Amino acid sequence: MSKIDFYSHLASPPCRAVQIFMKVNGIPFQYHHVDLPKGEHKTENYLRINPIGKIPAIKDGDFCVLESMAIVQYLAEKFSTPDHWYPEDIAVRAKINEYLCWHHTNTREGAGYLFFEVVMIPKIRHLPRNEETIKSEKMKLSASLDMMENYFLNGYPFIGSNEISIADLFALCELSQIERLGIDIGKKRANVKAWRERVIAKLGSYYNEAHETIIGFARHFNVTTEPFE
Amino acid sequence: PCRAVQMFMKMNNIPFDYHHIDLAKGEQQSEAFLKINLFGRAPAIKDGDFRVAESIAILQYLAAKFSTPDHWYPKDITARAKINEYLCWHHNNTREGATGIFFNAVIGPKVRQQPRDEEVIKTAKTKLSATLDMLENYFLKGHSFIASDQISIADLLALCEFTQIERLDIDVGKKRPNVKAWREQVIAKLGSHFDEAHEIIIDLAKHLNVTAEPFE
Repeated sequence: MSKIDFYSHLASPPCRAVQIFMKVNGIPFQYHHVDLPKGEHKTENYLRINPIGKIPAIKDGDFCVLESMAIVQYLAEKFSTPDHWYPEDIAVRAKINEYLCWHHTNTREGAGYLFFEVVMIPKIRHLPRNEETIKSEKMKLSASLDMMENYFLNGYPFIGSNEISIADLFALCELSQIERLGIDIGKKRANVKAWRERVIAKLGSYYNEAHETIIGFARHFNVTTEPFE
Repeated sequence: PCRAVQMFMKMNNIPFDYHHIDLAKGEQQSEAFLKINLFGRAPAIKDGDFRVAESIAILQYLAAKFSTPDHWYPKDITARAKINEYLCWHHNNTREGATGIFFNAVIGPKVRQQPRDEEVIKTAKTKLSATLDMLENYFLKGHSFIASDQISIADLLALCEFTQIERLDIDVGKKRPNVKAWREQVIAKLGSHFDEAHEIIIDLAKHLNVTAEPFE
């Protein structure tokens, strides 16, 4: 089978989720680094692949797919990955789909935007921190973690399921972004703590490999601890 | 999102019992409702004891459970991938722009008696404009419906967000012919189910004396 062309920058949580999914499932791919700081995602060449100008994107032959969740759903189907990644059973799938929907305006907003406000804004755009926004994002993060603790992981070792799925990849890769800020998501939440350890254990070396870039990035920018309760 | 789910069920003759959630009275945060949907939002469904929240997850569940005609959420992996692209993108684009405007131009001032936050409204309008451009130039490019030649759940979700801001006389198709044609096609397909689902929002807008909101 020919390789999937994968357009990515591993500082991005959704890119990490897609890469880890492909690696764990032995899906052959060609990595194409998209130089975000140089604006490569807005170049004509890249916009031909992804008119929305964001990463990740894939090309399967001539067929392009954008949006990380759509990509992973496509790959799961195309490569007939083990059922637990995105179960056929409509009830289990519904629970995972709940998370996938909810993720965009909860986990991603709380964790992803918080990282952006605390790191990118001051260190890359050289603008002052917006403390109001940061406070609001921390509240969103807190509420997201509470919902994970009390709903998605309530009675389940993984999000809405007894086995690891794509939902866990998206959630963990988003939350690992803010771990660069010294934020311990499992500090006051036992289910989240245990879940995090379980998912990382399942992903093994692929997890570490996918996170090298963001760890390097945080070191390079002297990212320090951000208070969070 | 509630309108999208209702129209889907009506179009597909999925039998349902309607339970009105009194948002104005905060019923979505009541103990009773939180037992059904801990997120405290509408819509939600209960299928026997099985609960599903999030409109997109609900639509995907119902399409599978009731084996609705394939075009609503096609099984073909490339067709489905294109619709899934829209379903993912919808949250932080269509919904963010349209709901951002409606919430801050209508609910904020008229229901919660808060002053208009012009910065927030301006940002939402910018988002809406970019969203409509993407629909015009990507999702509807070469297709009569979102990423497809047949109506799907993506069209229901998108249209229902736009009908919300149509209460503010925002004409999504004014400068965008693909969007204009798409809107008319979707409404035509939905027939009386569309009108029925929109009675409440039309009444609410009248009741609150909602006026036109400038938008280019």
